Amino acid sequence: MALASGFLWFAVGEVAPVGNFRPWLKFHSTDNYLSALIGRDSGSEFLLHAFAALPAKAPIAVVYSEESNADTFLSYLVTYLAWPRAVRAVAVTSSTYASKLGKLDTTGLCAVIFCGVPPPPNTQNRVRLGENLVLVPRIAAPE
Amino acid sequence: MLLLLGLLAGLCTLLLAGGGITLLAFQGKARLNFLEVVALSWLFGTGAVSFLLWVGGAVFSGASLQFTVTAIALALGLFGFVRARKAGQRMVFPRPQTWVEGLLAAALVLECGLLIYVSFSRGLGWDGLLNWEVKARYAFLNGGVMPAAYWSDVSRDFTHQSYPLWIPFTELWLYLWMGEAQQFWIKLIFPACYFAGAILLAVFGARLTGRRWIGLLTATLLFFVPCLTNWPGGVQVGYVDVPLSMVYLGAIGYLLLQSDAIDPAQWRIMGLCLALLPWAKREGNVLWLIAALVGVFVLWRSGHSRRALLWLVPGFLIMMGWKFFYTAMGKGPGTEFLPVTWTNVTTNLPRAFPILRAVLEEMLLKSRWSLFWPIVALAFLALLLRARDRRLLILFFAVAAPIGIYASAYVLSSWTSWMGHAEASLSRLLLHVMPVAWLAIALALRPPRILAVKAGALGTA
Repeated sequence: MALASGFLWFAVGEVAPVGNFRPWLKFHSTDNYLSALIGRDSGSEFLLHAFAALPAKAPIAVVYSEESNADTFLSYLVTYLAWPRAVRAVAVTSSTYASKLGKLDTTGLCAVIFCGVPPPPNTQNRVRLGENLVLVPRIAAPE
Repeated sequence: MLLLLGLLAGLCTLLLAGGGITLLAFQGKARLNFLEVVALSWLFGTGAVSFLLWVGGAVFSGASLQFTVTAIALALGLFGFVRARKAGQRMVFPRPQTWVEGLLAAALVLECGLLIYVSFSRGLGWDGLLNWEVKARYAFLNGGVMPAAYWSDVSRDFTHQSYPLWIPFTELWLYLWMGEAQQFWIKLIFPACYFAGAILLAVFGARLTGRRWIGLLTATLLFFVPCLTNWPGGVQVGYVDVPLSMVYLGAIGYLLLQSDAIDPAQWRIMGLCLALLPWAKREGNVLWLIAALVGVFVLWRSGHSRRALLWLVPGFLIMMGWKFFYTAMGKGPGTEFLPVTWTNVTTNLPRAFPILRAVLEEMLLKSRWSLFWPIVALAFLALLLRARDRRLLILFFAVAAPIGIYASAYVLSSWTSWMGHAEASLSRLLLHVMPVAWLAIALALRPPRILAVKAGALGTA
């Protein structure tokens, strides 16, 4: 009896924390994450729309900081939504940023997406998809 | 509205397919526990439909795939129900017989409602989305078949392509019926697996102790293990760990019920649970091996026909089939663990003690487990002092062996921070054996002078 009481005593405060009840949306989970990571509601459909404006089937590159879990996760979300487009993942750190971007083979890429890391200063045609998320089209900017 | 009708149709076909399989497996039993049949129907239905989608995807796609799998699911259901009717099987709803049982049953129902609410209030977790749901989405966008390009896509390696398809293709099934990849409603799958497990726990607890209130109490208390609802791997985040743990509970529970004498119907059910383990997750292979060893032990001790061993084969075939398919897709072994070589083992052996300490520290974390593991330890101690029987041996092996194997695996972790690897996944791995460990508590709660009811004696408890 004492053990059961002790078990319940320590458990009650921890069990079943309720989150924010969101409407039953198609992109319930990804929207939730994107809202926190890039500060945009309905972020999944917004990104899908941005990808749809890029040349079909052309690959993209996703550059992210592997030092940050949030940036890594954001890059995964972008890759998740970019399907069936091929993605080249470029994980950088503050010390490898310049060298890895310098070596990035952009042949055939239709865009480079920067997750949590800024594009190089001289980059033109930046499209800001949200906080921490910038798309740089290589051929034409998405509508 | 159409979406909800589709969802309902998807859920019904899963239950029908599973119901047919369960009834066929229960051939020879005159009385069946309705709730037990429903619980098993869910587990077997999701297992069978996801497997059919995978196999059928080699030939069909789109509407023809959905039609074919639906036809097989309905045929399975119909066949099972017709056979049960012809055999005169009767389904009994186990009504509470005392006010304590009524109270515990009501609490169980309340917990189920709360769990659905909690599940819907949270999004899919990292792995829930990027290891599991991602496969359902990609297959859905490709007419219900995993695109061949997915397997060769190194940029999607983070989605753990080696993980099998039980849960992803159950999600896919609902997507196909709803007509869209809908991340919200698939979260119903996980509380449903939890309820199935809770029902099985109540059934096993009642049959093993001869006291229905003990079964109901353990099933009710299961909800209060914090890790089940507040931590990655829990019901709320859509990982496979909880469904896997419930299937393992099914396999071990039915083996325990047969520790003295083999019951063909329960043996078949155990075999089906066993088959689902490798279809759930890679760790399911470890659980399959342990449950299969227990099965062989039970068969050996009972002197039963070796033909019963055939029921261990489906799980092995699924394990090998998936491995073959994965290799055929051009994928190699994972890189998370170093190869098991003498040099690797001896070089990394000093990790063993810190890992053991991490396991013990994890078990004592009150925010994740409350006092669960210390109570389990006391339960085993009480059982050891009270009765050193076959059930205790089976139960201890079924709980301790997976923990031992999982912990040992971290010795060969290829992560730079191997301790980080252990700490990131230990709680999830302990979840796999947690429901089985409740059976030790149930047995320890049994009044000492009451003899254990022989397996099957309370067939409808």
